[in-house]
Amino acid sequence: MSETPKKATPNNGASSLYASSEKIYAREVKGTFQRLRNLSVVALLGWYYIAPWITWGGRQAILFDLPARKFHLFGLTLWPQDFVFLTLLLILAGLSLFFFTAVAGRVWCGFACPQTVWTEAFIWMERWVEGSRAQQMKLTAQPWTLTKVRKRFTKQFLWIAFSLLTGLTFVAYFVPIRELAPAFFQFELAGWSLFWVLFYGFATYGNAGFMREQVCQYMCPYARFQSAMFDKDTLIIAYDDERGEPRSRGKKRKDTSSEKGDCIDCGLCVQVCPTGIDIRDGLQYECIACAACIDVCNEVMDKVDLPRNLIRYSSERHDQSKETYSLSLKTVLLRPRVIVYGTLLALVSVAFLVALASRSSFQVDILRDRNALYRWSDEQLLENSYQIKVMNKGQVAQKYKLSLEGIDNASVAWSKPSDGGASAVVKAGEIGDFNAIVTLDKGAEIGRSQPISFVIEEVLEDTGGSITEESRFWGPSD
Amino acid sequence: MVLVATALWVSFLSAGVATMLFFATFDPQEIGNLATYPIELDRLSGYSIGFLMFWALLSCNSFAVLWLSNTEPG
Repeated sequence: MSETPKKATPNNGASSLYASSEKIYAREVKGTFQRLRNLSVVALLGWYYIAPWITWGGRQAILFDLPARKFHLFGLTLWPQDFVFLTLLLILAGLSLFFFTAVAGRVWCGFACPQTVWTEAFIWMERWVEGSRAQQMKLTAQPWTLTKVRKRFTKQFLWIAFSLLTGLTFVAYFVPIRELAPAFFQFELAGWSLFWVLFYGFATYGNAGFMREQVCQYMCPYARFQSAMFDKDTLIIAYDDERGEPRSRGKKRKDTSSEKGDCIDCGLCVQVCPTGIDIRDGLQYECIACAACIDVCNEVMDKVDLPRNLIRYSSERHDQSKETYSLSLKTVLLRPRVIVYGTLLALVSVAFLVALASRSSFQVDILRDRNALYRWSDEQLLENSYQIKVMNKGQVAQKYKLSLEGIDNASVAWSKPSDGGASAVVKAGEIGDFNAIVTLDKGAEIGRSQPISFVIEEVLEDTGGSITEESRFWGPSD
Repeated sequence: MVLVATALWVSFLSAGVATMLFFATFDPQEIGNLATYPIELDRLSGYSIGFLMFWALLSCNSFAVLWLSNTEPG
């Protein structure tokens, strides 16, 4: 059967995947999980805005100094050569995310994700200016009176100011805040610093002010794959439909003859939901596990003298058969998936810490002198010249001592030693460029080429770090 | 519009990764010195321009893939 070739339109099928959404007015909630989230928001935002102001040894404690190509984390300074630590850190972050997701679902989304944290802050500002959910909806519906203008202007002003502060603080992790902030507020900031302040400020404003749950639904990669970490024992937010159905309200509820579940169909679980779903339909993709529905339903159950936890944290297996599969610490933690993720997490954490602890405070590169393979000294002794670069990755200035290993008929010395035979001082974070000469003793056997090992040791401070590097000593061919 | 946003967002993430990997190895200042015509490139400019160029290139790539997947010849 022949078919006429299809002319696909650019959005073939894609338009059905995107629903143009109206603003969601999430009702305010009070309860255990909301308190937990408030705590999290204050702690995380507090840390974010305060951290750049902390100093350490004369410099900013947390500074990803891009121009100097060094990342400072309190007493730790990482160079580009330490890139492996960044990758290990990212692996650790990923593994811990998988671990927490396998145990308790999307707790990251509901309590720690920057999108949630900043959106909460923006919602607090919005609520402070425009009032409760009902008041906000009323304000949107009404025409542009002076009051509406004033309220909207105030809200936007607060949002924009907070966004600029956020953008500024973001750049402050890369450019010291004590230079950046005054320059910004005196309108003297220019160039790329200003660009990135405005860029991230705008991103904050857009994401937390307007996009909100659409970031979670459309943009976030974690949202797409998080359910792959779930198994039947993962803690999920679930409506107890055995207990709650059939739901009834009003007159039908008062009718004692009809069968009724505990759900009074107040609809508050839908009103408080930041993504606008109905959890009674079951766990859905959009649900970010904020547990606002749990909080509000418990409040309602208290009011109508019914037991709490009509909506609660449960698991798929528990909901299958509550008597057979009870929820316990054992079912939540002692299962293969959690054990595997947990073990991997522990192993990589240990590896990371061990690697960090055994990280040397300096690095050495030995380059042979390219001018000549060997040369004869004034006393007719065979000599080789080497260029030795020492990178001081520590926090203090250092001097280095040079010696040989594995060879007993030669001596080594810096070309320009300071007193005591050590090298000149190399300041913290700098690279010392030195020259060293290895001299074969008088009467020693001269070969074409032999391996030698240099031992470079730190002299100052009691760190006593030492590095052994191999090279070759060349002589004339016979 | 959603497709545009998707292309831009995914290429933003990839550009971030590309920038980190590339500039951990190559110093923007050195790149400026070794360029075809020597340019004054301070590091912040180097990182910024590098990131934006990666983003632009990866966006073009994404748009091209989307366009070719969503249209047929003729």
